[in-house]
Amino acid sequence: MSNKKITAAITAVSGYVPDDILSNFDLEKMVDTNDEWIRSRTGISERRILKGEGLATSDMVVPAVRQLCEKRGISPEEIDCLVVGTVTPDMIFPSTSNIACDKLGAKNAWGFDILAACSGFLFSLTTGVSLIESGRYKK
Amino acid sequence: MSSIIDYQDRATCIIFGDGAGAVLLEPNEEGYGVQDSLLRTDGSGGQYLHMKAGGSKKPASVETVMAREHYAFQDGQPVFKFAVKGMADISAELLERNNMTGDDISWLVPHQANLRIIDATANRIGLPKEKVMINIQKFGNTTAGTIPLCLWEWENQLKKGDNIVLAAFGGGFTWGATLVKWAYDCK
Repeated sequence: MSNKKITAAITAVSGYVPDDILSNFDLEKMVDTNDEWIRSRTGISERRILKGEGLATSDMVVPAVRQLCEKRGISPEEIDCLVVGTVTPDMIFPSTSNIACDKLGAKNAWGFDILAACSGFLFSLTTGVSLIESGRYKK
Repeated sequence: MSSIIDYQDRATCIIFGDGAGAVLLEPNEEGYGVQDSLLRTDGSGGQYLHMKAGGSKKPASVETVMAREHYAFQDGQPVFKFAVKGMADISAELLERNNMTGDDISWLVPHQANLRIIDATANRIGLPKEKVMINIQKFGNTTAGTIPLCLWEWENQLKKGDNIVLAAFGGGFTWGATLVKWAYDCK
């Protein structure tokens, strides 16, 4: 056993954005606004929208995690814990983590959702870091 | 986010978009990875950004649906005001507590809610724009997705040993900043 302090390192990064684009010009047709106003006040020109009957947050989590595993060369079965930060869970319960683990085939994982709005990633990251630093979980 | 956005509310619907990011965490014995994290909450801010119905306080009913209470409600001005100060202050506090200045930081990865909040944080810790990850123009605010989506897009430019500050502010209020010593070079 090493006596060195264990830190939690990010060892791979991935993402998923849906294909459908909703531009400022599209929004001009939906509400009283305009491209110049939106860009000057927020910096946003367009955003992506998940479209399709029955599609939910887990349908973005799953491709992101699958890509993450491929990049690192691991199987979803090697995941110990999946922490999902979201304010738009697929359902109130079960958790989106639970649903995503099932779709991924992450059979050995446990997990849960963290509801911290726009700070969701930092709250989830810090939670995951604590699990790794405990020495109990590896991925 | 689009599932809880009211596309009749012009102040809110322009901001948010859909997306997800993921990171893998693994143990490291060489000191790389997450070094420090400062996280805060202040429930008095809840009144400015929340969903009115659908929880135990006000379960879903015909009335709540008719009143459009299952969408994200935001009172933009106070949120903006708190976010500008909150995200900048906590980033500065994180650096101070780790005896660092902006010169020690390779990248700021801010939550992408508004360009002016991002600029305020970068200015506060003394980072030039070329060291700040910004993709808000393409994706808007994807809530918890913004920071990992930035890391994903900039991954090729990150080098082993880079000090990186992640910073966020959001509904709750919740906010925080995390210091990361990047653990790998992209292959």
